[in-house]
Amino acid sequence: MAFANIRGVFIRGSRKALRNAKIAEIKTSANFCVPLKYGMASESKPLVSVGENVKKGSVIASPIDNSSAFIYSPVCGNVVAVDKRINSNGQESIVIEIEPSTSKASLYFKPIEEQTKSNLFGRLVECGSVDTWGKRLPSYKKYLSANIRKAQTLIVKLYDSDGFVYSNCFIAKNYAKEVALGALLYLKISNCDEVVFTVFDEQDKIVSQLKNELLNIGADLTKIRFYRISRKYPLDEEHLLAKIITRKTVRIEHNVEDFGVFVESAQTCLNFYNAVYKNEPTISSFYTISGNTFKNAGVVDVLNGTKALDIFSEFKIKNKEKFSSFALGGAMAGIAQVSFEAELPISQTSLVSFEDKIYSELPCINCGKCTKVCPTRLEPMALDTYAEEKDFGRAKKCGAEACINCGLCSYVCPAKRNLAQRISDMKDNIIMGRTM
Amino acid sequence: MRLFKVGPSPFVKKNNSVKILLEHMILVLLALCVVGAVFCGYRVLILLLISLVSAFVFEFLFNLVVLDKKGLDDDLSSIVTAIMFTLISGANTPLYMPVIAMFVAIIIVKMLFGGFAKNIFNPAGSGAVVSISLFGAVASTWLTAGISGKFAENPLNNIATGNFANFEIYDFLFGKAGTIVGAVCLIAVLAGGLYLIIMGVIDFKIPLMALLSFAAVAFLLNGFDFNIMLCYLIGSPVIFVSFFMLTDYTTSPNSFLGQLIYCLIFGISAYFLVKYNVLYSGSVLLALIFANAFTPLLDRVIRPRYFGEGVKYGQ
Ligand code: SF4
Ligand code: SF4
Repeated sequence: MAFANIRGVFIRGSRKALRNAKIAEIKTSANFCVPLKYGMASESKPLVSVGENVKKGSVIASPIDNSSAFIYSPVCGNVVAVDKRINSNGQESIVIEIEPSTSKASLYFKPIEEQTKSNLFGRLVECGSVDTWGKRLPSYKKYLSANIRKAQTLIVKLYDSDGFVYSNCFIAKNYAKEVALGALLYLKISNCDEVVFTVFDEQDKIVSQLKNELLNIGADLTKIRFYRISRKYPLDEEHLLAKIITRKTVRIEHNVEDFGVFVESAQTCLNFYNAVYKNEPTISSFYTISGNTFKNAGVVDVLNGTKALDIFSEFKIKNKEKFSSFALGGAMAGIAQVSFEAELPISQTSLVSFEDKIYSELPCINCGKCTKVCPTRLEPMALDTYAEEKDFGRAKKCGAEACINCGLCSYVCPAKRNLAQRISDMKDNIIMGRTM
Repeated sequence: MRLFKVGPSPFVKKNNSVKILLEHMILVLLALCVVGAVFCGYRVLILLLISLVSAFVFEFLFNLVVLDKKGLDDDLSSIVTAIMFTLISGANTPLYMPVIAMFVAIIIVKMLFGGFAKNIFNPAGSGAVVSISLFGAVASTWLTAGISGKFAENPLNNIATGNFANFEIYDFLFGKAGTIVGAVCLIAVLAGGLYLIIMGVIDFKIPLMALLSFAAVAFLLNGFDFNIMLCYLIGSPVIFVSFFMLTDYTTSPNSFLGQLIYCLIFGISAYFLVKYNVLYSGSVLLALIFANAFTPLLDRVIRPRYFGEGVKYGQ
């Protein structure tokens, strides 16, 4: 049965503007604030103290467990603060503030002598690459030995969460060779049988480019598949991808890796490539800047911890009166920010901003549009009622945990109800109740 | 510095709203009223006016007395109810009838169930059913009927008595039929339905399934006579009702299977109610209300299987 690929809506966004986007240069003027915790990952341990001098690429934090990563300084400079703050994900986290200096010195890894599996895995742990979707865990967590036994499929996403984000597509277009080599590296450490490149935007161009590169490298093409996906969802879509591509239903509470499906994106492939072939740690990520408040849209290579105000000095706002706020993480599932001081971490890939629009919630009219659109086949309006009544038991029975926070139900609702928001809050409550 | 206004994601929303949906509906219904007035005379407009005024008055009074708040609700639903009632009554309906019907529709069926979108039954439909059943046999004369012996002049009676002679589809296309105001012009009904489907207001599946099941029953139980089936389909207001009343969001199920059962219930019961002429032009509406009554049950029992439901660990 064609499952999730028939559900959902197609949001056009600013694709036309983004298609021709050139990579923009931004001048950074403010201090860099690198958060040590973001998303579901645990907090890394700071290795530097105030007043210390750091080089570009020198390690500033180390992992404390399997779900935290090494973090590297994005610039040369002095550490001016190491303290607890609220990061741009709304979580409390230690933030290392670095004042950049003019020096260009950098400190990178030593080259890998032999590309054995353990060497490569070591480099992946070391390089500090972080997933840019869903739980935002460090990339290596998936490949920890216990899970690898059943490895089957490696899925590489060459598209982004919604019509306003273009980073992965941009990388696949402009760094095809790097993405191909990076994907092959992941294939090596995961022992998967095949790589599936999933494409959505500019399918033909990306597929033909990538095929060429793979032929040049001399890769085993029998192990490589291309999949044209018909819908894209923000956030925890690994489960839906696993269902579409490998026909495996994995309950949302479990990790797809435990069932032999690994999901990477163009960004993480590029990170791994840089770490192995160029010996560079992951200190930046490609951000898409778009939305209807900006005069122009574009893609920027943003260093970890850059402040949003630096972006706004390069990308101008069309109409200051109509500007209300901006968000990190896409139009559908992003997190609204409260100040220009917000830092941009490597685990996000977009900064979007939309004109001020006020929606007031009306009572549900039972139109069923939300049920029709939900990719995981929930009944958002029923869950919404349970959320308002705080009836978590029934919500759980109706599968509240299967919600992937994609926001499509809120998108289509004619009564403009904030369904996705309430359901995801409730989901967090249920999950917290279970773990406590 | 200007403060940021922060709302929950998604930051873009589809360009629709309850208001836009209802406005499309009102546009189509008003157009049908105008068509009805052209064919049935100015009396239609008087009925419409009385319905609208009494709907507003009852809503206002209920808000004032029971909910202790001044003014009307700002949703457009009572306008829809009032126009809808005009469309489902005959052109000769007595002028006090809209008042009774609106009392039932607004106060009993809508407000006492909790207001807009909380009702179980279609308000306009229940209002019409109550008002017609109060007046029994007289109600048949409310429809414009002639005496020349054509099928179209009193289609409901002719169906009940098994008199299918002189059926000409032409009569139903240009307002020569003795039927409810909304259904005097079949072309207008179909055009309105198509407009709503194209604008995304209604789902084409419900009218399609309802009409198919109604037609199928009429076809099967009348010795596979295509002509009789057409008499049933076009002579009774079933096309109007399935496009504009059966599709009401609030009173129809959401799942496809639920909708199928709902349409089957409607189609089959409508056939028998029309055949035995239980309530004249209200027969189809009675079937509608009967089907409405199953909606809460259908919505509760038939739920979609969510992702991972029934899967223990992973498969
Ligand atoms: S309920 Fe969850 S998964 Fe379903 S549409 Fe809403 S946000 Fe998406
Ligand atoms: S889309 Fe909105 S109005 Fe329609 S059923 Fe869902 S919650 Fe209710």
